[in-house]
Amino acid sequence: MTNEKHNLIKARRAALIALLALCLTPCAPTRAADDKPAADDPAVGVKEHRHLVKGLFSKEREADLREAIGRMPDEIELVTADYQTNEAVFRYDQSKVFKGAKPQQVIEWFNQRLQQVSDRTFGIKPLPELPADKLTRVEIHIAGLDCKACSYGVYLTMERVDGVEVATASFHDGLATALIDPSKTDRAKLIEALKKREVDVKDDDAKADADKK
Amino acid sequence: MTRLGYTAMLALVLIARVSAHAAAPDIVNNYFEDNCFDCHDSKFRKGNLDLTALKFEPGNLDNFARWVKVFDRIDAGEMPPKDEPRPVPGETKALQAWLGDALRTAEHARLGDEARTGLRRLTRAEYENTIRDLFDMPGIALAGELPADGSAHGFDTNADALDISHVNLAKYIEAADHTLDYAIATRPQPPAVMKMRTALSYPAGFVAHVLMNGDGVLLRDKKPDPNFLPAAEHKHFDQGAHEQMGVFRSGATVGLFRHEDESFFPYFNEFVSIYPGQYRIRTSLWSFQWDKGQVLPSRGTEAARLSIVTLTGDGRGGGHPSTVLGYYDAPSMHEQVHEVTTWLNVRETFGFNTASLAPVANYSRKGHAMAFTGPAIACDWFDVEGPIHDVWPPVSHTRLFGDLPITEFSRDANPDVRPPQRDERRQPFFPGKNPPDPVKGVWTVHSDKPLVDADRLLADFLPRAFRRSVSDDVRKQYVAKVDERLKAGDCFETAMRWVYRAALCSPDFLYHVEPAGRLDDYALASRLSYFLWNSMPDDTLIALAKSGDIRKPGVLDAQVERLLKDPRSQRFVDNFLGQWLKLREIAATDPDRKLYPEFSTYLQNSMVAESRAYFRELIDKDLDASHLVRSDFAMLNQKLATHYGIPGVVGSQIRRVELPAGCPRGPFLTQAAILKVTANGTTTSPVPRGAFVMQRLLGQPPDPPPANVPAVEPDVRGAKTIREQLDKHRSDPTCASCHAKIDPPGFALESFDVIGGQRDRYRSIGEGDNPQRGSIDPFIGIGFKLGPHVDSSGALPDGRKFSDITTFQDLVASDTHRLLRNLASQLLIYSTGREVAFGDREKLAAIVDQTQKAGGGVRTLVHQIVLSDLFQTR
Repeated sequence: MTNEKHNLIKARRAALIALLALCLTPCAPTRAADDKPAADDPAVGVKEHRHLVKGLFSKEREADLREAIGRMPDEIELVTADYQTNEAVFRYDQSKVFKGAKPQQVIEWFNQRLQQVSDRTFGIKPLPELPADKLTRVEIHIAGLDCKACSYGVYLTMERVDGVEVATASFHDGLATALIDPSKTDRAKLIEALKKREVDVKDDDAKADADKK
Repeated sequence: MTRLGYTAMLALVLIARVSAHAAAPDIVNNYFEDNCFDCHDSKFRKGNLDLTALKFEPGNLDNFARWVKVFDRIDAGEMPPKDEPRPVPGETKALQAWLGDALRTAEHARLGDEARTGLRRLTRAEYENTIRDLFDMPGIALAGELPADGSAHGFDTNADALDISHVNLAKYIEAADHTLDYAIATRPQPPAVMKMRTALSYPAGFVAHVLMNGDGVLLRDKKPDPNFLPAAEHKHFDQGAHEQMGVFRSGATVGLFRHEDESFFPYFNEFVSIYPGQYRIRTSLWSFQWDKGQVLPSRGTEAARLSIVTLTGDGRGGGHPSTVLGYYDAPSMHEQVHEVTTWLNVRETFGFNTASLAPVANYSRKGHAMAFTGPAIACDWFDVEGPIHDVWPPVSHTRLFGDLPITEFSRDANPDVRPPQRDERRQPFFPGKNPPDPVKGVWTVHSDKPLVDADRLLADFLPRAFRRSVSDDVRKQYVAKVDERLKAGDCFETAMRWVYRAALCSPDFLYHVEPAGRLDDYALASRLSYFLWNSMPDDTLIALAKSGDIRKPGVLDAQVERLLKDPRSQRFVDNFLGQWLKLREIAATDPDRKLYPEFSTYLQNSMVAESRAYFRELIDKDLDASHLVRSDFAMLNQKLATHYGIPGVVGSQIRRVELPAGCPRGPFLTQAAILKVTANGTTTSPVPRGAFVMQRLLGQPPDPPPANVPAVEPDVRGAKTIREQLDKHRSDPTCASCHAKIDPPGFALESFDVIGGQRDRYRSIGEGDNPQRGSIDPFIGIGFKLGPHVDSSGALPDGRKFSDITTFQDLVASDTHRLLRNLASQLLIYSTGREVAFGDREKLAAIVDQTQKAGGGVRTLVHQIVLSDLFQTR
């Protein structure tokens, strides 16, 4: 064998070994853009996880959420909940509670289980892609909300508008709020969506909106 | 002309008159000449009757009928008229004796030995009740699918009313199949008993919707539910959101202000029956006064209506056919639990209505529920349990298959046998939450010796179904058919089903089998049970017929007592009254909403319940026939008592109420149901009411009006009373003879309006004075006026005068014999399926005499009828 051939064989062997090494090296876990895990691996051990909660539209709903989490068979603890941001912090061991789920599946699995125990009034969704300071806060005054379920109806109407990241509604003060992506929607569109469903938006809001146009 | 010529002419006239009655003896001719020809000859023809031309040919039916009318007029003392010279004493009696004999002889000659009651099939009601009793399925619904029966002499039991066509036969086959589908057990164990608590406010239902709009509220501990505040300035928003949040499944009490209407049908249809059978329901009801957010004691006990609703189509929407299960009390601020066991067919659920509340609607009211003050009925919960089977397989199955085991059908073991057909039981409607209880495999009755078992089973079934003994030859024909079906590849169940269907469609089942002449013991047992139970004889009656004991002294009387005490006798009350007093037509007219805004279905149903309960009381207490027109008690509930202006009656149940002296209420004559069926929904008229009284209560049916006389159009604008309009009509001599008899009862009953309310002024939509509200619910708007005063005075044909309804009642009640005789006649027509012929009158008179000797009570009358020759002869 010539030196040239020997070097070629060595080079091929090295490349093959490198390739094998690459395949056998475990992949580093991918992270969903939403989760903000602790510094160490979020998949293992009981850790706190912050998620956006669908249906957390008013102060009373915080207790409802706690009750719903309590009905879940999984070991998930609700640490804190803030209806104004629709966010909640949960504590659980992802590797046990969502065993077998890929990281990008955790939200969906959690969402399905929470919906099941709450008659679909609660759910989990990804945190907004836009940072909070890029979202616009909108306030709309509504007349004639009689109860929590009426507020839920208003919340659902707004939450379904594309661009609404966070929404609240309260029959106590007749106030509905939303954090919106201004590139996708605006206050006028929210008012339009509400009026289409015959929600009584108060005159000053409607007038202010008309003036803007 | 000379004197001789005149005399000759007179002689010729007399000869002509006499020769018209050449077949009659002189006594008839002389009587007519002395007392009748002055008015009823060819010249004057009063009442359109020329007796000089009336031949005596009673073999001709029309002629016979005319002579019967002559006989009756003389017998009643109507002819000769009171203001004419009286006949020679004894002449009338002699005439009637001869005429009566002649008519009876002619009738007998015409009828010969022909059976008096024609061959007749079961009526729809009899068919349904027979199936129900034969298979112990008390609620299976069949009558509504069969063609309507006719009516003859006032009843559908009459042979003349019961024709049959290919349509009937096709429907009988369908009915038999439906019966067998229900009756045959197709599983080794009964379906699991389901217990379910449901609420009026189930999601997606009508009530959830009206709660959103403020036509009802949710309550907890008798206060507004804090999780669902009453609709106020705005209606609640987004019913779906509320349902998702579980608002309507929270166990809260539903308080309803709104009455059922054309767009609101409260149903409990989270439960929809999958299996036919008995179901037990329990519900908690109470009432309250709602005052803009406050729950306060109500004005009194309200009434809620529960009904059985048959869901059709895809089950959505409202207005599905329903039958009333009953009315139930909802006391003020106090829960009352009601429990009822009832039969349900497949695809049935329960309906609810705030029956005693006036129609209100808050959905369009500013402020909705928080601006409303008014009564409400609350339903805390509604429990359903069933199907309940005391035994399995049920009686319906063992009637067909005895104690043969039910085993799983194996296709491998029976390669050449077709398995029985099965339809999968499932929950057919979307809101129904009660699931089916499926069974794996195909289960069917098993026989190791099919022809032996078939013979044994048919030996039990056929005599029971046919209501008499069945010969071996007949039974063997059915067994041969089983054999044929088995050889054709049917399994045992299917083969037997084939012959059972054939039996249920055979004349032996469908027809009353009655020999001509004296009924045999089986026919007597059947006639008795169809009279008092509207259904087949039970084992006791059949055993008495089989042993020959049924005609032994005291036995029939004892059986009459037994049958009357049985709850099934209520069918007799309902069916007889429904036809005799036309209660079946209670809903034929809708009272004008403007003139009678207080009318409601609850009132109408209460009316019918009153009449039925009253007849029941006459039978149970053996009260005399004067009670048909005058009474010191009434059978009332709160709704009726309020309508009649009788205080102190609380609750929805009918009960006996003693009346103050001088109160006209109580008897059939003044019951609201009768007053409604004899009016047209807008106005009353003395003529139809008077004719009703004459025909149905007094047994003196008036002649129909001449064809060319139009009806009198009432003046609803109130300018003229019907009486004033009729006066012109009655003053015409042609009309007067009939109207002198028809109108007086009608004038007396002018004291009552179209819904049976007592009045002294007519209501009008035109001129008049503003009325007092009286007992009309405060939530009902009043748009009518008070018009002319009512004049309910009159005079009977015999000249006796009455000033109002009570004095009329006194006059009529004194003729107890006539009332009893008519009732006897009606009961005979109903029970024997034929009219009372001229020749039956003596026997009818004997029945009435025996009854009066024993006190004259209605129960006694029923006994005497059953013991009579007329009843026991076909």
